[in-house]
Amino acid sequence: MQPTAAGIAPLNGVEGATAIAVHFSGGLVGCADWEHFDVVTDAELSPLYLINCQDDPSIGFIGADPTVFKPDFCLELTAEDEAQLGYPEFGDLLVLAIITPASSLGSTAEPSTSATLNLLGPLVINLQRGIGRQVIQSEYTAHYPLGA
Amino acid sequence: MLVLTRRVDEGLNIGGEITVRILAIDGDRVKLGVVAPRTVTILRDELCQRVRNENTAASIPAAERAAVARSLKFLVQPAAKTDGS
Repeated sequence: MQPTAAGIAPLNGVEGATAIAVHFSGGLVGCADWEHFDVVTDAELSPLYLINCQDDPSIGFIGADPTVFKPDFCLELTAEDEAQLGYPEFGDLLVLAIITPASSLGSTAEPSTSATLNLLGPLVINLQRGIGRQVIQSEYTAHYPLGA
Repeated sequence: MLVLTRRVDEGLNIGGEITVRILAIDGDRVKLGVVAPRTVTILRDELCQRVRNENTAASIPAAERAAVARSLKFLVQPAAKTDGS
């Protein structure tokens, strides 16, 4: 609810909704027009996040901390990544991998059984500054299976 | 797209700071060397394409987003994992 980036801090113990506006300078990878997002969670959604594009409201994702699903996930930032993110402290970083639902456009009755997690292009967010970057982690897959 | 023909050991310069050199050619494989400032990220193009495609595929219409998230929450609880009984 706070206007500043620091408002996201209580997320681990979530009480009530938390939202943060994040600017991805230059947009997401291959999607230059998607620059401004609201990242939202609440007690009901946690540890999932809604990642809502402000430039095009029809665009939005569901994200999650990749270590929830793959505890040994290890993020590697390049010098350019760190610069773009404003040289964040480790504790200021929120890492969100985007979940791809089973069939984004289909109306299947079991949308979650083969949802996957995009570990190849996670979103990294500096919570203090409200800036983010989609970083490519070439050793990981774009389709990490969720669930069974 | 700019198209140039180069031979092995030749190269080209981009914007003054980036040099791409042809190191070797073996059949349909070309070995390239890139010299660029540390702040420039260099990636295989197919990785960028893959991430772009995944971004597009993962987007969920605004009206359904929260509902889909709730439907995915069971994935988070390890107890909810099923091994196909």
